[in-house]
Amino acid sequence: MSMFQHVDILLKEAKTCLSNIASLNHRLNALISVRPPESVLTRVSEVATESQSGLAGKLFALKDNFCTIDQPTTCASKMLQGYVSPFEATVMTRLYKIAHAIDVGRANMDEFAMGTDNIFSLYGPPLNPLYSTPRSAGGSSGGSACAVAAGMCHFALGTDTGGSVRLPAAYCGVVGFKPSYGLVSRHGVVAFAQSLDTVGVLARDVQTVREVFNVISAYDPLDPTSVSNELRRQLQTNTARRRQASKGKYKLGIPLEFIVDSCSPDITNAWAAVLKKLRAQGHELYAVSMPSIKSALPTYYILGPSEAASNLSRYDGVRYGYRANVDRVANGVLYGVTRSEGFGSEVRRRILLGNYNLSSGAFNNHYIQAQKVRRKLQLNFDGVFSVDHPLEKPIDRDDQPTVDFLVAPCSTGTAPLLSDILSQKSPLDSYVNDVLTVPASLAGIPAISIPWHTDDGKVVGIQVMGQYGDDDRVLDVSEMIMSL
Amino acid sequence: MRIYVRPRLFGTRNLGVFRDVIRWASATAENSYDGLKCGVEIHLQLDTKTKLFSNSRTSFQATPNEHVSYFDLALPGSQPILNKHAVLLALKAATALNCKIHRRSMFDRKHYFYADQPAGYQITQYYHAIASDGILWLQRRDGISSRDKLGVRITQLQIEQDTGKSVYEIDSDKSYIDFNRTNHPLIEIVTAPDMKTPREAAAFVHKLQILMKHLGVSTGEFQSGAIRVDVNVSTNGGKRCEIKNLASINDIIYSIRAEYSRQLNQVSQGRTIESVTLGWDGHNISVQRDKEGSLEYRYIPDPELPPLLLSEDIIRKTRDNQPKLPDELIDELTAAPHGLNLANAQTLLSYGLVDYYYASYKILEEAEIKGKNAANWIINDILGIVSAGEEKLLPSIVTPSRLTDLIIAQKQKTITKIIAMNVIKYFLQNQADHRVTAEVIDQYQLTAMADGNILETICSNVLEEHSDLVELVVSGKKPSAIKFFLGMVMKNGMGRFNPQDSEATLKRILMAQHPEYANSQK
Repeated sequence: MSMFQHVDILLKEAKTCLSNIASLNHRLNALISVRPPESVLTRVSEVATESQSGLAGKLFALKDNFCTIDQPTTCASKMLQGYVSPFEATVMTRLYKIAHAIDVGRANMDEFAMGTDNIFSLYGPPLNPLYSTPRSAGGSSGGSACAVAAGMCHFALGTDTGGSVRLPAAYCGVVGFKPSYGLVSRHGVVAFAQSLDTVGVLARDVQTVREVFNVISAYDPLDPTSVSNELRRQLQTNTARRRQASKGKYKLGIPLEFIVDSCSPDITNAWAAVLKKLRAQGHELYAVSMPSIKSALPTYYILGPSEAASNLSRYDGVRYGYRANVDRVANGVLYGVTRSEGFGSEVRRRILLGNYNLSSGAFNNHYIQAQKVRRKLQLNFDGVFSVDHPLEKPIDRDDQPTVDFLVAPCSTGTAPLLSDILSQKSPLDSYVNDVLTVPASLAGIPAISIPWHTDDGKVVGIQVMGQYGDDDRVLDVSEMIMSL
Repeated sequence: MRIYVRPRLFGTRNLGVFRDVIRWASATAENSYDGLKCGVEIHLQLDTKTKLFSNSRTSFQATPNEHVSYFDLALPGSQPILNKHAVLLALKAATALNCKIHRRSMFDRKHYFYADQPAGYQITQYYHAIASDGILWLQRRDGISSRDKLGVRITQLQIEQDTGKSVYEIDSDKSYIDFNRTNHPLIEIVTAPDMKTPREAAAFVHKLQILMKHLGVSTGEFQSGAIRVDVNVSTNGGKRCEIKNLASINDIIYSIRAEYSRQLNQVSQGRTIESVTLGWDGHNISVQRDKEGSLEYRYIPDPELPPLLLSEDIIRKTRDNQPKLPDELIDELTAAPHGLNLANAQTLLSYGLVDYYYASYKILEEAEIKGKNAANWIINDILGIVSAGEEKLLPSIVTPSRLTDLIIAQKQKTITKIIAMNVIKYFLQNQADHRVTAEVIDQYQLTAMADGNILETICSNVLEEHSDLVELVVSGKKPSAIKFFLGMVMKNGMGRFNPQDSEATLKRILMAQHPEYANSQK
């Protein structure tokens, strides 16, 4: 293919994306700001001829919690309405300046990434492009998943703290990948709960996810949790060795604790269908048990809000962001007015929850216990994977069979109707949706949601999880499952 | 922390603290403080170039908000990167305080809302500090009077961030925030309640200041806020009350005295002592916050700062490379062959000039001049003419070789001491001039003048101009006025005539002209 053909294809693809944005975004509400089409096309022709990168000239949407210097970064919150960061997220720099991909717009999200249906947004919820009736696009990276599914971009970046990339990917029928914790820089990503926050990639196929992941997975001295180059080399060596040893056949685990009552038949049937096909392909299946997963959800809803309450303390309206007319009402708390007006209901709820957990009366019973459960859960995962955690001492794996990867559903149902969600009585109703995604977040392991099309025309998210650092092979398996 | 604008703070000489101490240490015997127990909490600003978790520079009195980074301002998406130099300084301090060093420590967040606390929390070490269980020994010469030795136990030493400054305008509802100090590295040192008199508490703080300055850990200055002291006070095993933010050694002494009286009064009136937080305005103790108002800090381990891990190697190296500590240096300086008195030894130490003195001493001894001369010059002459902070430049600008050249020249009567001091000033003002002392003396023709005729003329002129004073001197009404003439001769002679010759010449002229004066001098 000549270079001119290559440029033509990229321009054509870009024009398709732009035309999808123009025709669909006003209804879907996936993107909350869009780059002028002319500047996108100019940039495509520039980089397409100059750049060797496989992502050059590809368009992406950026969740609104990544800092960029030329557009506001609002986290879909009144608190940060109009806030323009003076610095840029490392992943943005890597994608734009190194890989020459082009950000086409900012993606809608739940306020400060807290939510599972993207209904807690200053800009209103995005709609799931798979359905004609208003259904949830998932959250919190709902705008990112929606934009990818609607063909507005080649890929999108999201953040996944407890499932915020995987769940919307499952609802919208796209691939959503949460890498191992620490592989992708969080510098310039607005924090929700740093011990869990992970930058994730959404695309329509695994190959694109892999290309993007290869660009953004790099040591960043600006992020104190960034994985060192030394460990990255070790992980690469592991991957090469394991690929050679497995010869494309895997031992796959069915985690029993992922069989939950709230799962709809659509989901369990699809899961069973996938497993059946995998066995037919010669992969070995094992039932495995990780008892601590039963406590994963409450653990997550203690740790996440605790960290969030701390991180969101900075929003006081003094240096930036929304500021109320008065600093306090009589006998009120300093900044009370600013914070109650600037934050939406879900964010306020989680701050309250977090502050309660951190208060001296509750700390030992809640936060400390939750940390212990989290540790147990991590050890549970280590016990079922046949390879060791690269950052931990090797462990004895007793009688339980060990596996290369775990295969499970990503959500308890398909995308719910927005009207049903809005009529929910308790916020807990939406918290339980996270039951299948938070275990991987707590363990920091790579997890991906891949779309599975059922015989009756539905799309279900199938989740693959692997040992910490086994990201490349998680993508291998995902590619294989998508081709079944 | 609230700072009200008090410009007078900044004009004072930055080492005034060491003068204070001489005042209180020499005061008369202490009153009785039966049942008093004091512990201190000290915040020391570490003397690093950059901040604790960002690359912005540390500063004092810089243009407000000139040295702030994205992290200092808690901008969304910014992250902390630990300054290793700050850790090394904390390690030095912990080593010198004989602390147990913890190879694994952690950072925690302490939450409270305040305008000068941009993140809404301070990063500190609450659950697992870098060091604990140390001790600092005080001796009688450190200013304790009732016992020979006092070991003050260090309970904890932790690394933490400083806050910004809120600045309030008098008679205005506006306040301003300066984030330059935000994220400046601090260590907090907490002691057990081992001090039993106000002066012991003061002596401990002062000794710590000297030690930390000596190690290069902190400037230890009250004036710049490099040290901030809280004291907790209890009597007869009662509840502890904490006096916050004491800004000088004298404040420590007087506030403890006042608090001791307050607690005794309470008890004598039949009230119990409640655990309260107190303020000190320089004259009075006042209750700032009672127990009900105690704050809920909602501590949480920082979720993105990795544990601080120290290798055995770095702990051992820090211990092995520890310089001689002040106690040992004072012992050396006050013993033969130096034989300095305690005050002079302490002065050299507190100005950080011990090595400077030692180097000069060695050169002088090799030139067969008493090395101790260097101490006298430094303490009695040079420190009197350099301006605040300039003494730090002496070792590098007025190098030991330049200083000793001047001392030798003066001993050989090539120059006068006045000229020597002028040359030192010249060196400090012309730091780019790297010539040796002799060349500078030659260029400006500063050598002492021995020409008796010129001196005679100058003296005569001075006496003629001030004939009214001559009358007072010769009549014996005010004989000391001769010093005035001497001063005028020094001035008119540009300091190049030595004082002994000048005085002799003045007297000779007066005696020749006024026989009655000659008689009175016999």
